[in-house]
Parts: sequence; structure tokens; C-alpha cells
Amino acid sequence: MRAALIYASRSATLYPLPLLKIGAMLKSQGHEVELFINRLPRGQFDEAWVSTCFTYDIPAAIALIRRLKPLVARIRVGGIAATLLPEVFEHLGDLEIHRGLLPEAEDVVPDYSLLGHEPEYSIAYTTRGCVRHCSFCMVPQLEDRFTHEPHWHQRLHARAQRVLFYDNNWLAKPIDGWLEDVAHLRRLTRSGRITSFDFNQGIDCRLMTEERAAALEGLPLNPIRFAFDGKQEDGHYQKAVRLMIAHGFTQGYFMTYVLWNFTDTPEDVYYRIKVSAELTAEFGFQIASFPMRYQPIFSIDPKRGYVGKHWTPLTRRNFSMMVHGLSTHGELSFNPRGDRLPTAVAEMEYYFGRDEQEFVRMLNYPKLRELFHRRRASMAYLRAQDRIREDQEQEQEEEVVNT
Amino acid sequence: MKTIPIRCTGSEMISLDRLTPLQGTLKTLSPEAKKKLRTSIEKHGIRFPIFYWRHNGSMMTVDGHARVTVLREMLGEGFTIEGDLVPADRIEARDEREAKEMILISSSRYGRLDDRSFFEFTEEAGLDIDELMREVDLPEIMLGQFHDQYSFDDLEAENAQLSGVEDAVIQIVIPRKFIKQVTEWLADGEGSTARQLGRGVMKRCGLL
Repeated sequence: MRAALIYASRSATLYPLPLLKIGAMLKSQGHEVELFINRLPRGQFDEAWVSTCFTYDIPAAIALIRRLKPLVARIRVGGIAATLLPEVFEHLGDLEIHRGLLPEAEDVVPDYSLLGHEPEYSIAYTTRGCVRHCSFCMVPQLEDRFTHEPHWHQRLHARAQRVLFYDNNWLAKPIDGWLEDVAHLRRLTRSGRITSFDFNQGIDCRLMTEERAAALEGLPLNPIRFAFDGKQEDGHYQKAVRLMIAHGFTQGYFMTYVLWNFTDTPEDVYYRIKVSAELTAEFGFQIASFPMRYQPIFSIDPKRGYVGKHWTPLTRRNFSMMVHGLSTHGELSFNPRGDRLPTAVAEMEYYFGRDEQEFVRMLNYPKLRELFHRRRASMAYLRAQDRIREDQEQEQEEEVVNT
Repeated sequence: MKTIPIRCTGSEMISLDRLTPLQGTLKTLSPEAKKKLRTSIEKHGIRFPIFYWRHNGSMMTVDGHARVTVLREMLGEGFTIEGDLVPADRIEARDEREAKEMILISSSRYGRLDDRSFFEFTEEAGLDIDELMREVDLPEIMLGQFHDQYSFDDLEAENAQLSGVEDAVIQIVIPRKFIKQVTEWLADGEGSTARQLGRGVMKRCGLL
């Protein structure tokens, strides 16, 4: 049998781990498989396994499945979007919809060769589910129990030196099992098998302790991702950053998820971004914010147009514009070294206002886009002037030395 | 003398003098709304035909009373209309009762705007809200709300002061050791917009 594995997501950027596992499982059963990322298969296939991801990509996934139906006799649809909203796929008819994990593929070693190139990283889970049930998060809908995956280290790609962990809450693991994971990571690092790892979904700052920070010391965890999604993390987040820095995490960078457009207010978002700017200024290296705009879990709006309770279309639009204008790949960071704007806090205040009230007023200013881009251009110009002057001064000094 | 251009086509061209109002005191035209309409006509010219009902040789206005009022005032101030005639479309009605019913139908707004749809629309079209405030009257949106709730004088002043800054050409000197790399990034299409490219490249070169 020939099976087409299709990743039906326009927005996902990481490897489709479930399809790599399903591919390995089918291969072990003697079937031929081929992977297609967000496109129709080429050639004859007996069945297709379609993996979906984001709910806002559902319209595109449905369009792809509609075009797939005349080509393949049997189509199975699974993944996050199909688990959350199976009914929108059911009406297409003649599909096998699978919700949740596929138990027979869970313990399979992913077949990275399906990617058609050497993978840059392995993907692993040491746990599934989460101990928390945050109302903005889809994890409780997808993985309702918190379980451990003790054999994760046996499923890594042999040559990929970076590991991306998809754990939702690694620190919630009981300390013994967690210390075992750390020991595995240390062994893998010492042997040179891995050179860096990343807990992509973030580490729960509320569960960071002196003991855990000390256990992680010296490991190539980079970036260090926390979430500062609301008041519940205030204080815990700052403490967790300080603990990690105290244990030597000063070479990489910190990246903090900042949820907004949920039940938060603009003032609250301003505060959370400012906290990271203050930590950047205090420690002199990048502690970036990664604003994540909330979109209802069970929404299939491809425009992602939801407006939170304390936001308006104008304030939401203006804040998105500011984030896109200042961030690199979504990360909002401020110059830790300082320059014309002497500190990271000064830079943050230049673009977002001196305080919460000014920030709110800016967000309500209909011509903010224009002003914001002018501020940015103006600052870039002033910085360029500073740099030219510095270069000229340096040249003059060199001339004096030469003469 | 300024000429008001015609920017639409009606089924016929008629003289403003021939139009007789039919709506009586149904609607009022506040000085503020009149000013907006005049600004719009000055900016865009005549963009929509007048609708009228012909009755006993008279042309009774069904839709366009406010425009006719404003245009007449403008003519009194020395403006002229391109070709001296305005585009118009004739509406059929059995009698005055039905013609007046047509006035109410043409005045109806069945579709609803809301803040969200309005901002998405203006955002997509790249329309300037301040500019719109001077010529558009959309009671549902309350365009003035932003100006009423907050004072933007300082932001307006800064915005005006910085105007033109986007047009400045900023020359970036890239260290020689990065030239090959930057060329490769460009060749790979990295940074689909100048903004991304500028920031990304500058960051990697240690300029930011």
C-alpha cells in the first residue's frame, strides 16, 4: 500500500512530528509512504493521512481535502484542528476523523528521512498534557491527562544536535523523574550528541525553584522561554529569571510569551512588557517579550479577527502594528547596551509611552501608525548619525596615533 | 472661479434649477453635516446621481436634497458645475404617496456598520480616519469619540514635526566581513519587506 502523509497547515513552521511517527509506523508494516507539506500528493496513493494544526487554518485545510478526495480512496484526518473541531471536517463526508493522539504511533521513533533532508533538530516530549487548566489554552482539550514519557531520549534523531521539546509543562513533572531528564540531557550534552535544547512551549515560571535552576546549570538550554501571561505570574516570572541568571544562564537569551487580547487590559500588557525591559536593563542582555495575541480556541476565523474584552479594533490594530514594527520574528527586545536611548527601559518608553496611561492614549490615536513609523525612522537616523560620528572619531584617533 | 467636476454618470443630465424638494421637513441638515458634505463635494466633485420623480412636468427630488442645497449655496458663492448640469436618474412612482415612500426607502440603511468592520475596512483601504472625519457622517461609528476621550495634541505636534522623516534615505555602512553574507541573504529573498530586511540585517551586523 502507498500512503500520502499530508501536513495541511499553512502557518505551521516546525516539522510535522505526528506524520513522521505515522510514516515510521506504516513503513514498519511494509507500506510505502511519502510526505507532502501543505500540498496535494503527486502520483498514485491508496490512502492519505492528513494532519491539521491551527484552527484558523481550517478553511485552507478543507480546501485541500476537497481537492484530495477525487485523488485518494481513503482519507484519514487528525491533528489539533480536527481534534478540537471534528464537525467541520465531518460534513465533507467519506473521511475518517481521528481525535486526539494515535496510541499505536505514540511510541514509534519518528522517521525524519521523510523530510527529504537532514533535520536541523529532533522533536521530543518528556510529558504530555499539563497540570494547569488555563482557560485560554487548548492543551486541556487535547491532552486531558498529565503523563510522562520516560523514553524520549531513545527517540532522538542520531545526528540532529538540537532538540525541541514540546512539553507543555516540564517543571510540573515530579522532581525524581525531572532530575532523570536533566541527567539524560547532561549525558547527551557531554557526549556531544546534542549541543542545545529548547522547551519550545515555555517553562512554567511558577514552578522554577532554586533546586531546579541549580540542576539546570551548565546545560545548553537556549532560548529560555517563560510565559508571563497575566498577573498570576507576576513576581514568579521575575524570580525565575533571576534564579536562572544566578545559575549562569547569561550566554543565551530569554524569551517570554506575553498573552494579550484575552481578559487582559492594555495597561496590563504594558506592565508585562516593561518588566522584561527592566530586567534587560538590569542584567545587560536580551530578555525579549513575545506578544501572543489570543484567538478563541474554537474559532475558524482565518483573519483571526477576535477583539478581547478590554481591547477595541483600533487599540488591537495599533498594538499589533507596534509589535510587528519593532519585533524580529515576533520577538520584542530592547537594546541591552543602550545608546541614544540610554537604557532598554528608555527605548521601551520611547515606543510604547512613558507609562500605562500614555500607552493607552497612544493606542487610541487613530494616526499612530504614521507617528510610530516616523519615530522609528527618526531614531534609526539619529543612531546612524551617532555611528558615523563614532567612526569619524575613531579614524581621527588612529590618524593621531599614526602621526 | 472653481469648477465642481462631475465624476459619475446618470441616465440624464439636468439643471439644478429644475429640482423641487419633496421631503419637506423630514430631515434636517445641521451646519456641521453641511460642512462635511461641502468638503466632500469640494474634494471629490459630484460622485452620485440625484434621484428624482417626474410629476406634472416638475422634477421632484427623491434622493439628494442635501446635495442640492449645498450645491446651490456653492453656486451662489461663485462655484460652477462642470457643464452646468448634474447627473440624475428618474425614479418611477404612481403618485406622491409612493414617491414619498421611495424617499424613506432610499434613506434607509439596512446594513449596519460597527467599529470592527469600520476599522478593518479603513485599515485595508489605507484610509485616514482624520481625513474621513471631515467629510463622512457615520453616526454608528462616532468618529469623534477618539478625539473626545483623549487629547492627542502632543502626538499630533510630534507627528507633524517628524513628517517627511520616512522619506529620508538612510545609508547603512555594512562592515566588510558581512558583505558576502548580506548579499547571500538578499539573494535568498530574506526579508520580504525593506523593514524586515533593514532590522534583521542590522541586528546581525551588530548595528542594532
